[in-house]
Amino acid sequence: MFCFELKDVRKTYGAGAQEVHALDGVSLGFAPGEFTVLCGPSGSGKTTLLNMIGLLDTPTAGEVFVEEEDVSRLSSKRLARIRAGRIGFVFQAFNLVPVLSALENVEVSLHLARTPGDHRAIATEALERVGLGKLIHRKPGQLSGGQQQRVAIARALAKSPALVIADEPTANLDSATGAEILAIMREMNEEDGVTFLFSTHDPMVRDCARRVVILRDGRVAEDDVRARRPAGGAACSS
Amino acid sequence: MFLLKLAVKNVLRQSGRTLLSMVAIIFGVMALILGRGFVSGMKENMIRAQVDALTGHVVAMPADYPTTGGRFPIDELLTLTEAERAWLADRGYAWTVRTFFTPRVVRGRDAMRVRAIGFDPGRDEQIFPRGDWTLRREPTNAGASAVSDDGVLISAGIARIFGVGPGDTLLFESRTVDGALNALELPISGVFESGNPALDRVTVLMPRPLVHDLIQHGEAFSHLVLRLESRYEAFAVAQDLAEQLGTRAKVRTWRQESQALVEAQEIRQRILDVIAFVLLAIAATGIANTVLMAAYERVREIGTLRALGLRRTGVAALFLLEGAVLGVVGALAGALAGGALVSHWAVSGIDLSGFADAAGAEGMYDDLPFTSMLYMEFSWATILGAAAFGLAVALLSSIYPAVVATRLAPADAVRAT
Repeated sequence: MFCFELKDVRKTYGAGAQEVHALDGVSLGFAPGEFTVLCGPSGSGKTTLLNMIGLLDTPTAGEVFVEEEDVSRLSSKRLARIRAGRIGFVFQAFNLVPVLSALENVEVSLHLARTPGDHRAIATEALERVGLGKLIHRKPGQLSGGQQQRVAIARALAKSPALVIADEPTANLDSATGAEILAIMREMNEEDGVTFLFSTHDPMVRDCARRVVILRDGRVAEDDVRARRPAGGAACSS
Repeated sequence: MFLLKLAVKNVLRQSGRTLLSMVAIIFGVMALILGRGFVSGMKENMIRAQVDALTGHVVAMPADYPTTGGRFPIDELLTLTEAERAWLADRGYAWTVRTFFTPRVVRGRDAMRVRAIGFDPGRDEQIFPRGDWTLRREPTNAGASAVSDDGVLISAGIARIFGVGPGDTLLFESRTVDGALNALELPISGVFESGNPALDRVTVLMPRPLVHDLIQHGEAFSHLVLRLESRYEAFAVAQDLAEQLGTRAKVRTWRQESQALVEAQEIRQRILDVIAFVLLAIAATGIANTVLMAAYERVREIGTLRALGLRRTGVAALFLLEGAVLGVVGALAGALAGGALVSHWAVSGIDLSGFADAAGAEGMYDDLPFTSMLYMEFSWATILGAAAFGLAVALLSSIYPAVVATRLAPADAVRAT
């Protein structure tokens, strides 16, 4: 059973001679607990695919299923509700709200997801898990890139989503920090069974994945399910 | 609550820009409050000046007497019967009679026509208080009453024009009520400055016996003036008085007498309102700009919030709240500052004597009564109304930026640079 699934999804931009097929009949399913990396050259459709799975955009044709519910034609309001509760995002540029502290950034996510319980306590615990227990009141501008990405991970995971979409999460970090971030996500995948879907050009991330999907010209060129490679090194050790 | 918290933090993010927008609202709201307070105060000031100097609360005059312009005919005057005097005494009203006429004043080769008010020295000051007047008299008469009958009181304007003062004389030429020419050289018993340009320009106050010597009017008069405990009784009293005097007289209230003044003030009010609206329109543009720039600067942030599950309505609410925060703080500060100033000037007043002197010297506002102290009118309704208007302007000007923000596609916004 897939928690997220795309069936023959197409996304076309423009019309006539200007028509561009960003996705051209993609079918993919993601089972709970998967740690998948989406690879491919620029323009291959990675971002568009993430937008479809993250419910940030709707397909021109085909179907998107979230926990077996077809969400392809849902209203913007319903999509927002599903995003809030079921999907976590980690972005390349961290995308934290600069006027809010690390704690408040995580709390916003819990608030929008309507997560039951004490949001402050849940957010604090999530930040402690990513090693920021002592920096919870700092604003993003007072944190390093790696620390900001940790806040973003805490924000994505605090609400216990069905899927975390990480769009080039190590691209703005140095390799050591990137490895730390990757290790945190890997640990959460292995210990808590959180499902991750990465988009990346980073070979270190690719080496950690148990499944690598390669896109080319809006189509799935390769879907390689495998065990973790020993060459993954320290970044993949949890 | 979370959106409000975020809105407040966002507003504080660009403190300089926020301050500028807020100052615009503050000035707009203050301008509304001060403008209205000033005009209402000026209206009240003029009504009081008119009542205290010329009309009292109720005034009766001959039926065909002109009510506008500078004509003061004496060919048809009124007299009071014993029954009417008894009626007035019975009612306990403070009253007096006056005779307005326009003699020619001559001194040497200079001559001009002036407005003369014949007054009853025994009664006039009860109706027309002169406590605030400045009166120059001859040193020997310095302590004498302003309403003595040993000469005429001339306004400071006439004294300036003829270069005369207490102790000098002026020649007064006039027709009598029968049409004969008459002239009388009268001593100046004092020079007054009432602070009211309507009197201070070219007015002569002449005791009734001297008026009689000049125009031979006997017991007749042009104006019967009543002063009441409350001016709001004027309408009912005027009706009763009209009934008593019959068709030979017309009776008018202070409100009718000051109608033109009130209307003029209402025009001023509208002009000031337009100025305040323009200020608030500028403020609205500033707020729209502030919030719109915030929307464009925070595209990625809006995208992130949308990705986290904030709906379009939530985005709109966030931007409207930011406008509302600007509006509430600006409107409150404007209301507080404007209210404090109006409240201060409602008690301590604004000294207009400089303006009155200038107006008198320039011949401006000859017929415009006002007193030298202007007390602004404090009104909670005006303050609350202005604050509400400022807030509404802030909210309305946030609508467009809010719409712009809601139209951002989350997939693009989330990766905006």
